[in-house]
Amino acid sequence: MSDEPSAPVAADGGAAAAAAPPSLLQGAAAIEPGEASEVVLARLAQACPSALARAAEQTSKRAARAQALEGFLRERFGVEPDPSNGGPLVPAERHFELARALKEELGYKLYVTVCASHWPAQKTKTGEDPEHFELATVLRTLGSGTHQACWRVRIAADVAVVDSLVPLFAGADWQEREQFDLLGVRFRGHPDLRRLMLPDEWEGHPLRKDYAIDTRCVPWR
Amino acid sequence: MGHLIANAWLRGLVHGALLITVLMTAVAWISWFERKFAARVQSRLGPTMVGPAGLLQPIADAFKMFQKEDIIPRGADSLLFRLAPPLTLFLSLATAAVLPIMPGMLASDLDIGVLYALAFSGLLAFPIWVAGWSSANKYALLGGMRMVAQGISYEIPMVLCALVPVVVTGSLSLSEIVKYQAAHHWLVFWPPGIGVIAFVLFFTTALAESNRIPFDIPEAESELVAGPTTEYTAIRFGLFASAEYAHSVVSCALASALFLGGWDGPVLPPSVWMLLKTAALFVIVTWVRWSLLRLRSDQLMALCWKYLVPVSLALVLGAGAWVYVVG
Amino acid sequence: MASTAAVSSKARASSTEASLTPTRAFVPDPYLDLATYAAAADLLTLSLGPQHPSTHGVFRVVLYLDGELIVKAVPHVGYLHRGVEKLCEKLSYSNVTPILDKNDYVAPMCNEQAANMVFEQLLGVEVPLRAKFVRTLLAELQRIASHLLWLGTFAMDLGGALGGGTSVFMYCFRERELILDLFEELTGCRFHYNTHCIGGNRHDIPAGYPALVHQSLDLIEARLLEYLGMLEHPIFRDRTRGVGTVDAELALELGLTGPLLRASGIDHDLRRDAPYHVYDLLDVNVICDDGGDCYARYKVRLQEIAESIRLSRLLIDNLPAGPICSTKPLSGVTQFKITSGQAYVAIESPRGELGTWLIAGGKGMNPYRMKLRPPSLHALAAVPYLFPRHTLSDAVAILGSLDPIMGEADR
Repeated sequence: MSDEPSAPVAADGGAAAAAAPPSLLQGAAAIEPGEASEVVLARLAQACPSALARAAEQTSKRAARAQALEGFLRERFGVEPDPSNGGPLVPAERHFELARALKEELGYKLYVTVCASHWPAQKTKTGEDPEHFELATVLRTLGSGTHQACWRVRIAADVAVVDSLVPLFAGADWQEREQFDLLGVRFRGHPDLRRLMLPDEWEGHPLRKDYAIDTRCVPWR
Repeated sequence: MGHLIANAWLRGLVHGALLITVLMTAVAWISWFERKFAARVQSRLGPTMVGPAGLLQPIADAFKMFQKEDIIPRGADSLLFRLAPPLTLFLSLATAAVLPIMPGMLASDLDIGVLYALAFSGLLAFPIWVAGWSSANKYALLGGMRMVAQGISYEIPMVLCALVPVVVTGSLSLSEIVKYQAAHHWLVFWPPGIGVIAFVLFFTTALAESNRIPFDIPEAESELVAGPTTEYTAIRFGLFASAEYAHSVVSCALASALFLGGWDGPVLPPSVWMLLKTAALFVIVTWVRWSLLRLRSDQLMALCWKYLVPVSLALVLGAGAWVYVVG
Repeated sequence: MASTAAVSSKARASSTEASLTPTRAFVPDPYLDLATYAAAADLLTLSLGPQHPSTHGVFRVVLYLDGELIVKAVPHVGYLHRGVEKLCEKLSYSNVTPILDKNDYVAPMCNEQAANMVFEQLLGVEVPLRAKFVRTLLAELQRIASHLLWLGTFAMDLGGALGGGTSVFMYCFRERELILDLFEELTGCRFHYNTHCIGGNRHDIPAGYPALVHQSLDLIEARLLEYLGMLEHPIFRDRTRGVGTVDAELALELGLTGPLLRASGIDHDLRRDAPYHVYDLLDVNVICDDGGDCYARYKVRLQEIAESIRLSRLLIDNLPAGPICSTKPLSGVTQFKITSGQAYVAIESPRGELGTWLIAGGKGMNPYRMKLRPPSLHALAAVPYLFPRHTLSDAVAILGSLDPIMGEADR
């Protein structure tokens, strides 16, 4: 039990301090050069012989799943894939039906996320696009060659109601509450639709585009 | 068997004052020792700033405790809330009255010393429950309830294990038990086997009685914030803390008197032996505390009622049979 | 406890579609009506948090206790809600990264990667091989650091701040410090690195860095045994075995990912199943366990540390030459512009699937909408299902084993 009161910052037993002295690389302006990528890749392929084949298998499996999903959506729901926008736009009244079919028939069992977005009325080339919400949902298959199924539904702003997925996925509870909280989209059949993040007395839905950032809300602001 | 001071009242007064002074001083530096020990276990330094090697830290702590604001919650039962900390300390220290420090030196040579020590140690659950109840805090209440359950349960195997020396020596007086050990065998070795188990069990249950990890479920700060002491501040909290240390030390001393021969030992003077044995046991207590995790309350109860009580019952029976057969 | 065992909650019965028959034997009912509970008169309502030693930040859960047994748990999140998603809508693409560092403050590297990968996908920017290696290395080192922090806090939940738990905590922090030193050496920061940018990394590996990494990893590997020595004893096993069991089906429904999902016996890891960075060149061993309880989660995470150490060594030994970033150093905040498109990109953070749903639009200077998928929020959603039928002590252990980071859950 002898220690030096003058050195309170000394590290334990010296071992940790000796292992990585923070000054070792100080002033070293040079970067670690590395080796040619071909050499590295060859060496890695030797170290992990099964890796590349496994990755290729994942890719092919995922491609097959993607194709199956496209076919399924075209056949049952009559929608075309829309990869640049994350997923196809599905009629809102078939939202629940699609989620259920994906879960029970195609094996998209992992509930990933839901994302609502607000689109104020705007003029487009084809005419007036009224205010609306978009709700994107992501589900995922499990294990080898996992594939994510994304689709979007369009919800009219004056109704702002869509079917809840809580009867299918218990985890949808909080996710939908959050979307309701931040954007004001309501979920039909949700057992406990309260605000999640903000206090219950909060007015407005902050992630709407018409919500001014400096909206006053006593006493929090 | 002459005592150093003939008059029993005077003897009690002098020895009592001496004991309390020594114990409370010891408690202060025991807290220093524990902090240092814990720091070394965790590859830290512990207190270093106040005095050489942080030796004056306990004094700084005491000053701090006195300076802090004394808060009594609005909903609390004021009288009981104030009563609980000194009562806890009183009960912890009162147990020390029957501890034989050296031949002829103990505050009160009661004929029923073992019973007295165990009774006071068992009463400790009461002021802690009072603290938990009077705080008007749910965490404190839960902690108090746990304390009562744990105190009552662990009382039983503790008493049963303490009965083993009583059965072997035929005396309830602590000083007689120590004298027997000095004359014959240390009771940790005698009766062979039974003594060791009784000692380990007694020590374990004493740990539980003094709320040390792994038995500190009443405090359980990751669950109950600080258990019964949640609402206590300043010196009231300090009293609880020193009572806990005092009780641990007294339990260690009790265990060494009951099983390790008390002041008995070669070469060194008797009081030094007593101190050494107590200190050694306390190091073990500290070591266990900073290495183990905490049990759950129901597991704690299961451990007590399913294993400790039957085993200690068997120990008493075994000791009785040993005395009957061997003599 | 008969009434808590009532399987079909009102929610499930009153769904719009035909009610889905539950496939599990028992589901604790998060929507339990306490008036129907037999001992309702004796229930103790305990508000655990937001200021409490073991809520890992500012999580609050209202517990209804029957004695010490939890009948119902109602969690409340949002105490750390900072409006990160709204903030991202106001920031240019290159300015989003440092904000996201503060999300999952235990694994900031992974946050940066998740966001920049989705930007790169929508922009069509290719990341050079060296940057991919560095990113993978950083992610694996971050995983070690994050799991170490978890192990320490979990032990502290079980053993208390004034006991053996703290010892484990101190050991874990001692080793985590080594990783933070490595990051500091590379980026100059210990916590909020801002080292990833669109198209690569800002900071290149300095000369002599591999030796440092090896030194630290050797030390950590050797000291993993110390944790086993401190934790593998009957008390720890009693406290964690059979506590907070999540069956595979519930885990999937709740969207539990990462170690939580793998501890429930589902062999799923994005590093192997949907390789990004250079994970397609590595043979990642996915560690699973069938237990589903706190002990299984502990075992999975501890083995993942060992696995990450192996992968990190492989990566630092095979560093390719080449540029570290494919885009020009940042000249102005409006350098990157995405006018349309949506994408969801996910990576495997230490806590699970960390994803970003990005909607580009408007003038293209900043994200139109950015939704982060925090694994911690999904983990916390399991609380109402896991707490009932356990005692208060177990609740603390379960919460610890879920490894929630409130900065990420609340955003």
